[in-house]
Amino acid sequence: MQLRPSARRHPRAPVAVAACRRALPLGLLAFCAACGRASEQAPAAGEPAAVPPETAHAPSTEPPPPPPPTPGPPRNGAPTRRPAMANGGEEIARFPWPPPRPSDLVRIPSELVTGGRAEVRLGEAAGRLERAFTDAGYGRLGYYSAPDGFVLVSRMEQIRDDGTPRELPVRWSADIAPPRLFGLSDYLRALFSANPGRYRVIAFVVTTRAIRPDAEPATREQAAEWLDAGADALPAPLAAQSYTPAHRTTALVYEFVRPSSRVAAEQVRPSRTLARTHLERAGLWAALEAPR
Amino acid sequence: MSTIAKSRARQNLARLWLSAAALVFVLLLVQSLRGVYPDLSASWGWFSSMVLPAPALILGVLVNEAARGRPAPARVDRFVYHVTFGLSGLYLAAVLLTLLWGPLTGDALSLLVTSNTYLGILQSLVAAALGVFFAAKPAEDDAAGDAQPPVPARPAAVGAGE
Repeated sequence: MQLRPSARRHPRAPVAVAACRRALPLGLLAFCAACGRASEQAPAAGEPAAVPPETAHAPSTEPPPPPPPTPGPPRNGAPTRRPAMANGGEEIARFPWPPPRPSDLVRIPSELVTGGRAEVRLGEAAGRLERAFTDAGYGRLGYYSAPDGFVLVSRMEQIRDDGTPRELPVRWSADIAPPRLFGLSDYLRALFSANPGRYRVIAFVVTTRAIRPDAEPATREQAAEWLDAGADALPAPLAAQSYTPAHRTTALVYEFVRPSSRVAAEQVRPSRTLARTHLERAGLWAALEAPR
Repeated sequence: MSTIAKSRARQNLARLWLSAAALVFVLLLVQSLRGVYPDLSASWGWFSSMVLPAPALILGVLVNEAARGRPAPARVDRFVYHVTFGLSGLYLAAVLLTLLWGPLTGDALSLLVTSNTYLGILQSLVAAALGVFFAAKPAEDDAAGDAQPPVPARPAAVGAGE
């Protein structure tokens, strides 16, 4: 078979190909940079579009249009960093809403959160929930804003099959801990049975809205990040709001099981343990019931 | 040079490898049925790569010999046999220990996967020893107690050439 003249190898062809290969990554880099700038300038999905200053300050005789509905955060289980209140001055991330599908949830009686008092601020309710967490041995907590309220998220802990926390320091470790072996029978049982890691995150949601969890479950990684993205305290304007009779406090329990560090963790749904039992075994229910 | 009958040495090696492989197989099977390993392909892949090759080689040689009929009474260097047997025993002990150590770590699957590193080194040594053992030329000298009695010299024919 005879090659066409154009298909023959040109003496400078390797040089041209090498130059193209060198130029291709640079071109791709420039294209990505341009896309990044464009996305920074364009409003993100769910964000209100930026208003030009002259339009924003122009006097108008017409009645102002109704405010656009507050765009919801992305429904991917990740919190969004945006101001909780327009005049708050303090930024607090917003908990994903509707909340990711929990393993189970339970309504907390209002008197346990308000202490039976008629007029309570959200800050006092938050303090009561925070003290319950502290009494039950939980350390750092994360605050988020929620519609007409807030969310208080616990640190991810490792639990036993029945919902009781693992012993320290395994409780706060992400690694799967070996079972306790006291003898040959324990060893043989452990040799022929699975030893998955069980993890739990508890989120108290204080809101006036009905909670209709998202169809998508949360991943273990998302739930672990909730603590880091949350604030360590409730912003003062939010804390000053009243805990009205319309407010409800709900505990969302997110339980995850990880059979091995080589396998991704999956959310347990439904949990074999009821949410109330989770709270009882975590020591939270008793801490909430304790007189203050 | 001390030697040993090759057929006997092969039988001893076959006994060691087949019994250990069977033990590991049963252990792994029961663990798999009990849900110890969330990723069965990983655990059985470990068995296939870490345990199966040597018994398969030994079985292949034994089947080949059986198919060829009565083998010639070959002999092998006793030192080569001892090294091969010792390395095989050490390797199989490491394999068994890896399986039995799982409950102490809490993550048996991770242990199996990470064991590829040290078992791989041992396995290459065992493979080299097995290769020397099976490919070695039959030893000529025989000073061992279990040596075959020398074939008596054929008496000269009386009156031959007469």
